[in-house]
Amino acid sequence: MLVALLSSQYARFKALADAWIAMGATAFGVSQEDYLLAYWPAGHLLARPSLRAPIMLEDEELGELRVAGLHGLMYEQRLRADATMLAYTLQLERELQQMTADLVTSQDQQVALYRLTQTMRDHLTVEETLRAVVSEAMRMIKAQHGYAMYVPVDAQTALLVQLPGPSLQPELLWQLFWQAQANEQDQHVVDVALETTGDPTTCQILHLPIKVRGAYLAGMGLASTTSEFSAPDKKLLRAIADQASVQIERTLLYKEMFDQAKLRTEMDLARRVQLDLLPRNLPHIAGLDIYAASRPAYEVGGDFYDFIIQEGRPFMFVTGDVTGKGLSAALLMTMTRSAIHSKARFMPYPTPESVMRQSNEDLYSDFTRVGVFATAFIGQYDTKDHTLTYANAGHSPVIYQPYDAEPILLRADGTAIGVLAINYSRNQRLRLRPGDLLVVATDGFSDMRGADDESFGIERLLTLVTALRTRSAEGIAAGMFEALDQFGQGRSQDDDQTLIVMKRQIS
Amino acid sequence: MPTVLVVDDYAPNNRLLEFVLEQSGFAVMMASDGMHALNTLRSVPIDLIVTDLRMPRLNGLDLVQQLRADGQLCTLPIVMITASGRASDEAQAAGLGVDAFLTRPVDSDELVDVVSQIIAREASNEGLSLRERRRQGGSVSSRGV
Repeated sequence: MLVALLSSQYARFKALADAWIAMGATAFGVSQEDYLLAYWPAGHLLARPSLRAPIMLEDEELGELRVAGLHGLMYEQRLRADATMLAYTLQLERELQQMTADLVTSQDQQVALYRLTQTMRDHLTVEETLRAVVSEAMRMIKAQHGYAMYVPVDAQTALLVQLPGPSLQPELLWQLFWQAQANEQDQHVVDVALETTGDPTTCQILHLPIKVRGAYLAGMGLASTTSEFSAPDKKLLRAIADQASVQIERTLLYKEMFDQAKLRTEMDLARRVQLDLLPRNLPHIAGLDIYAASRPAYEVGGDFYDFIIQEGRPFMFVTGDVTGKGLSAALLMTMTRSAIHSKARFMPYPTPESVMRQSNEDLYSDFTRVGVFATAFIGQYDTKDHTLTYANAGHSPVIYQPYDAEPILLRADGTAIGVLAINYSRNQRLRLRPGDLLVVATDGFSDMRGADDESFGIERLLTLVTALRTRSAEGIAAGMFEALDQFGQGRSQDDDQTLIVMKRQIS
Repeated sequence: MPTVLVVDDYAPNNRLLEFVLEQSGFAVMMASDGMHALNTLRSVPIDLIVTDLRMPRLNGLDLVQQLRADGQLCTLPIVMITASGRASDEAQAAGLGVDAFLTRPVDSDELVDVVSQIIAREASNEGLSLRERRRQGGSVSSRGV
C-alpha cells in the first residue's frame, strides 16, 4: 500500500524531502521493513538516520520516515507529524479503494440487472424465464449452482429448473420452497451437503420466495460451495427475484392473452363454419311463406337449419341444435346436418321418422363416444294436401299457431339424436290451413336471459307468436328477434338463436 | 505486466477504470484528456488505450484520429467507452479503427475480458496483421474482439 502511494504520489514525497533538506537535513527517505523504498538525495542510503518516525495505521506499522543530519525534539515532532499525516493519507486511500470496489460492484450489479431485464424480454414461457433468471443470478453472484421453481395455481404442472444440472436434491429444494411459503420468509439460508462428482462437499443455499399475483407461487435460490453469501449478494438476489416476479406475471399475462386470442380465432372460425353451412337462399314452395334465420352467439353453439328440395319429392326442412359450444359444436353440427341431409336426399321413401331413425343410427356411436347429442325437428310438407308430417327428437320450442285458435307447443315424442341407440320419434301429422303458422325455434329463444337473469320462457314465446301471427314469415322472425333484444336489455346472447317460420298463405 | 492508459476527464471514472484494471493485473496510467494522453504516450510505452469519447480539449475520436496518423503510435489498440450509446458514434469510432466500443455503465468483467483479449491478440501472430491494418488506416473491429 505504501509502495502504491509512493508510486502515485511520488512528486509529493519528493516535495516533502526537498522541504527537509531545505531545513538542513542531509537526507530523507521512506522505508518499509528496513528496506529503503525511496530516498533523497540520490546515493544517500540513510544507513544511520538521526530521526525515525513510524507510519502507523490501526496499530500496524506500514513503514518509516527517516531523516539524517538533524537532531532535536522539534525535528523529531515534525517528522512524527509528517508520518501521522502520511498514515492518514494511507487510511483515506484504503477507504477510497474500498469505496471504489463497492462502486464497481454496484455498477456491475446495475448493468447486470439491466441486462436481466433486456434478456427477459425475449422469454415467453415461465420455464424460459426461470432459466434466464437463474443463469443471470449465478453469473452475477458467482454461485456454482442455481435453481428456480414455479407452482401454478392449478398445481398440475409444478416446475423445477436447476443449473448447470440437477446437482441439488429436488426434495430438499421443494422443502425449502414450502417452508419459505409457509413462513413467508424473505430469504432463507441453509448449509447442506452436496454430492457433485462423487466428492461430498458442503454448500450454502440461499433461498428466496417469489410472489406471483400476490401469492408465493415461485421461488429461487443459489448454492455456493466456495463462500458464504454476503449481505450485498442477498440484496442483489432479492432484486433479481423481484424482477423474476414481474417477468413471470408478464409471461402469464401474455399466455392468457394468447389463449384468449386463440379462443377468439376459434370462435370466429366456428361462426364462419356455421354460417357457411346454412342454406344461402330461402325455398319457394307453392302456398307457403317461409323465412329462416340464425343468430350465432359470441360463444358459438351448434344450431342449424336446412331445406331439402328435390324434384318429385315432398319438401323437407330441419332445425337442429347440437350440445356444446365452440368449434367442436360447429363440427358436430356439420356431421348432424350432413347425416340428415343425405338421408332425406337419398333414402327411397324418406319420412321425418325414417330420416331421424337412420340419422340417429349413423351418429349414435360417435356422439356417445364424445358425450354429445343433438335435438332435431324434421318436417315434410305436402303441397297437394297441405299436410305437415314431422318428427321431433327432443327439440323445443316448436309452436303451431292456428289462425283461429290458441298456439300449441309441438312437444318431442323421442329422445335427441345420440341419446339412445334407436330413436323412437314417430311421424306426426297436422294440416296447415290458410293463415296457420309454424315456428320451429331453438332453445336460444326460450332460454334467453334478461337483465334480472330471468329467462324468456315458453309462455312468453307463445304469447309473442300469437301477437305476431298476422305478419309475414319474415316479419314474424324480425318481431321475435326484436322482442328478445328488448328482453335482454343489452345483455349478450348466451346461445345461438335459430328459427324457421312457415306460414300457409291465404290465397 | 501490460500497461493500459486510461483517458477520461472525469476523475471518478478514471479511478474506477484504474481500480478494475489493476485488480486484474494490469499496470494503469491515467490521463485527463486527449492532449494529456498524447503527451504520456510520447514518453511512456503503453500497450492499450481505454478512452472516453467526450472530453474537453481533445475528445476521444480526435485522439484516435491523431494516433492513427502518428507514425509511432498508429498501431496502438484502442478501446472506446461512451455513455451516449449512439450508433453513429460507434460507427464513426469503428471507421477510425477503434478495436472495441463499450457503453457506460461498463460491466467490469466485460471490460477486463475485452482488454485481455485484445492484448492477447496483439501478442499473437494475428497482432502483426492487425497492426499493419491500423497503419494503413483500416478498421479493425466495431465491437468486442
